[in-house]
Amino acid sequence: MSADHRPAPRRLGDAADRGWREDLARAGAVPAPGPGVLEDARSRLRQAAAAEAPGVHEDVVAERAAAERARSRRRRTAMVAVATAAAVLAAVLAVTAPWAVTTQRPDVVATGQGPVPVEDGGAASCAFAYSPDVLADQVTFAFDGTITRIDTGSLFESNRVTFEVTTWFRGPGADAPASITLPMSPAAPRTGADATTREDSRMLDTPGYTVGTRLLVAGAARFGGGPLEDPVVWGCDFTRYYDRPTAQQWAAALD
Amino acid sequence: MPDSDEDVLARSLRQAAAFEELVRRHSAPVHGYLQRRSSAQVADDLLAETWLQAFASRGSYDPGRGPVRAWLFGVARHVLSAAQRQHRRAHQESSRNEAVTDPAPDWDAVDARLDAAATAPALRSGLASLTGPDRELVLLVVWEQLSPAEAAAVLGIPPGTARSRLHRARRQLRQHVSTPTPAAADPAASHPSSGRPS
Repeated sequence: MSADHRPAPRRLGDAADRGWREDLARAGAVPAPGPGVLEDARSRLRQAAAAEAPGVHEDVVAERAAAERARSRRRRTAMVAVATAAAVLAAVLAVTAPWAVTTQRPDVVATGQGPVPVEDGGAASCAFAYSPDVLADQVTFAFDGTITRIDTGSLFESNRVTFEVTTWFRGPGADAPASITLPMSPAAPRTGADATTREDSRMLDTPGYTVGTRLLVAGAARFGGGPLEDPVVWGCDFTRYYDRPTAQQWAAALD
Repeated sequence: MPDSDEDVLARSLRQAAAFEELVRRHSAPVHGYLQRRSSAQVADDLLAETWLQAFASRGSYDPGRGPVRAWLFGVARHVLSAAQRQHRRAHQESSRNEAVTDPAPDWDAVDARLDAAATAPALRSGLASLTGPDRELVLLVVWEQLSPAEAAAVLGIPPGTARSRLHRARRQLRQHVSTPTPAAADPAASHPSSGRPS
């Protein structure tokens, strides 16, 4: 391939932005990678793929997909409900107090600090069935820690959960911090009555948490790179309540 | 109808070779991302590294946080950032002994690209005046054709934050372009010494 890859100006703002937008898009024209570059990437990837030990179970992958579909359905339902409520509210306000329409919005019920699932990244971690071998092979950070603070995220966003770390099993190395704050999912309970399918219930059967909960936490960097860069906490049995035998097992596996 | 990127990635978890389909689909845009922020040679060098890192990290991809395409740009961003750090360390090391001829692959590279494309000085100075994260958002949207939500996924920020930052950046750029300042006539004058995209 040798054709230039010039980004078409994406719509960003109104007509007043068109000039600079097109100017900038023109400056972004670059030649496509040559066939040798692409072949090198493919070749190195094939080597990596061939070297990867099989550690993934198809049924777990299927569960992940099923649970993700269920989660998407719930999100869509929730968003439609919020949008509908907003529309109804706007309509009512338009009739009763037109001046208020632009500033009013429906309240969103905040998530309390009671036990909620460690779901964030759960979909990702369910790509792998838990075992000490997979743990050792896949996670980039793991520790034993106690929750000292939970900053609740807004709807569809993560909580920021702060841990006091007792033991680092893997992660930051020599300069390991004594505490760390990680994004973990907030929001609606997804176990028990709210779990709509068996797969959903099983996949999201992750430990609830609150301040004071002691967990064995495992996860990986979302985009690769450093062990704690854009960290994703893994659910699905990877992150679990602390118990001494498992902590010892982790220490041995992640040494 | 071809499988979605998300389906292909899920399949690659149990059949590693399936991942190559993503390489076929996205190498050109990922290479373009790297090249716009560095050089053709650096992009050639980092493309394979990006794919290897994406392959190794594919278990951490979360469909709830954006499409595969955005996640791949996030991986490329991390790879490029690591290369920049390595370059700077090497530069500091070797500048004690000899001159380094490689251009720094950060905002300097972007600005050089704008210069080479004869981009309006007012636009160059406007971009230079943005904060690193705001500038990166603008470039992800205009150059990589990402939606604000997708750009947010690349940078690991909430979509609402991305939208408000883009709004601010757009207003700022519009002001620069419509009312050029003396500095706009000479972009080097307003060149940020540490304003690299981050």
